[in-house]
Amino acid sequence: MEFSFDEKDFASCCGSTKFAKEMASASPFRSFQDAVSVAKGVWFNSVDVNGWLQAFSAHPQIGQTHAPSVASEASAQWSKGEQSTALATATGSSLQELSEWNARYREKFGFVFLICAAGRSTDEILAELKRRYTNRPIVEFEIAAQEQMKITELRLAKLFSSRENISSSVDKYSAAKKAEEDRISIIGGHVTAASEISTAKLIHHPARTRPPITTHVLDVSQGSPAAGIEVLLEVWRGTQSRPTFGASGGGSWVFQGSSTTDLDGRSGQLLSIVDDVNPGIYRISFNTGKYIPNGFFPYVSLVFEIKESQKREHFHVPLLLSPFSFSTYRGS
Amino acid sequence: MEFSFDEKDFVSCCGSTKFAKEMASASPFGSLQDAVSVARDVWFNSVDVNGWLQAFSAHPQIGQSHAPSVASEASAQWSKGEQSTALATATGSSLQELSEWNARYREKFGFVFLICAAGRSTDEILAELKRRYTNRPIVEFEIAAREQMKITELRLAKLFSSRENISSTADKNSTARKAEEDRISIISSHMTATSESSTGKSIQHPARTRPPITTHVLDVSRGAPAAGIDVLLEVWRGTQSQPTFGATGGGSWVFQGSSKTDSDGRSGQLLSIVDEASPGIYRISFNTGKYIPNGFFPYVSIVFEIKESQKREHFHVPLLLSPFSFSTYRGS
Repeated sequence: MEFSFDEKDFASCCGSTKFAKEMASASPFRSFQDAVSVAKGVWFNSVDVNGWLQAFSAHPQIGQTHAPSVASEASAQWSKGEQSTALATATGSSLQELSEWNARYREKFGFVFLICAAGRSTDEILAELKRRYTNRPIVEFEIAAQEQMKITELRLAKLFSSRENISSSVDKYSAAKKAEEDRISIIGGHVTAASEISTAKLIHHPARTRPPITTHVLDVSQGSPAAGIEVLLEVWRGTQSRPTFGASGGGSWVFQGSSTTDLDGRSGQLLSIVDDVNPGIYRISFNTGKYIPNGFFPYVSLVFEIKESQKREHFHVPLLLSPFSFSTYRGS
Repeated sequence: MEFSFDEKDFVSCCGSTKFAKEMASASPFGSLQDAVSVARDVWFNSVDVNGWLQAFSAHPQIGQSHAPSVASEASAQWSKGEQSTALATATGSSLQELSEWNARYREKFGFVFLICAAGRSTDEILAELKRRYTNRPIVEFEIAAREQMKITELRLAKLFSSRENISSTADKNSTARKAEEDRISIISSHMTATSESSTGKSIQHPARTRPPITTHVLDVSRGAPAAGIDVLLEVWRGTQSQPTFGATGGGSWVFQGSSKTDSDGRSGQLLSIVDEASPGIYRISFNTGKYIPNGFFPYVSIVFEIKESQKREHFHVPLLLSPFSFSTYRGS
């Protein structure tokens, strides 16, 4: 089963014209995961900074549901749904304060405050807005692009689930007709129905409860977690099937996700929670030079491999850091 | 002596309206260094991404000296001066190729290719353009902003030197008078010369008996040295003074030496035995994937820094390796 969508569908997910065109060109997709993977490649590697600004301008200010130039009816509806938690928890004064800070943010950074609002209360959003307001413009620009990708992913999921509703109806009809013609098929149909239920369960209940690649940074010179370290995850893509020792060409590292470690030294989500991780050579990097300015390591990059036979396994890659030493290991 | 300038002067240095306004507000400055320090802060912390795009649009395409909407006569003249080396070395075919790649760059990234052209030949600029073309848009955006800052710094220096022409006449007069009045200064000059001679003497006799950077690989899964591991040492060279976390452009790693670990796990000489190591960001890599084919790490790269104040120190960077873990530290 392949899923086809047109440019308008993708424009509803993300307001960049180039994003929508390239996604439509890459369509059809075999699965939602394929679509998300392509979407990340397009958004972070192909769409330029003007395209990012275009996408941001398609969003309503948090607290409102209509952007100045709304991309589509679906987009407006999805935005409202994404803010349902915030709307349910809003008070008059928090909405007022949110509006004031939105204006300050826009004045400072030149685009609307972007946050994946799904499941967040107004107070949570306001706290995040105030915290992010202190960022440098380029940092905030990149964070906004990452939030956009999260929103895009949510909306792609909705697109795919709306299409799956149709295909499951067709399957049901086909099964029913077949059952009428052949008694043996009743048994077959039952087995198929059981398979479909199992498949549906699989889709609705992924086996994992966390992304396939996680990390944790501990400052062993202090015996505590290392908070505030920027983490970046990339995968190798190129004409060479893999990066090799000492080679400097033939491909490039493709952004997969980034985050900053929290008070417990853990990064936020670097990948989606999926059953199968894409096999390949990954690199996880840590901005240690910023965390320990007079240390030995301006940054730490760890290169590791996930084989085809390991794609359902978990890869915890922690960093034990001090100013003049670090260690790492595959954890669980 | 304080230096005052107005908004028009600062627009000539950098085409962002906000930059010019904030610099004019911060004027007067005690020195060029003060002005550069404020300029960096304004450019990287205050001007938003739209302001960056505005500044970029004020630049002519490399190979031309007029931007579509040139900011000022001074800006056009400075741009021509900045490209003087490129213009002197250009051939018909290299200008043609440069024009083609400029168009590709603009199509991909949405702004003109920015490089501090002062002192660079056309071929150098073209090579850099091709290399940077492979970057992700956000990375290239940030590199362009850094190049803009370099250009801005050059232009601030020109602004200040035009003002200093007046003040340096006064300074000379003051110096001459001081020399006439104080005989002790002759003794000071002589002492300075003596210090320089002492420094010269020490250069002739290196104190080291081994290269400034050494390594050692231990296979801690066996409690033994790791023999036969390929080792590579590189140093960062590029338009950025140093490689930064997550950046993929702005320079490259330059080969310094390579070797294979012996039966004691030590590499052969990776650098010459010299008194002073060149300060910079170094990367030492180990072909661990070949040594442990089914391990977790296809290779290990360790990035470390040698500061100007450390160039006479020793840097032993050992690797403690096992199939699913490694650690390193600065040793002696």
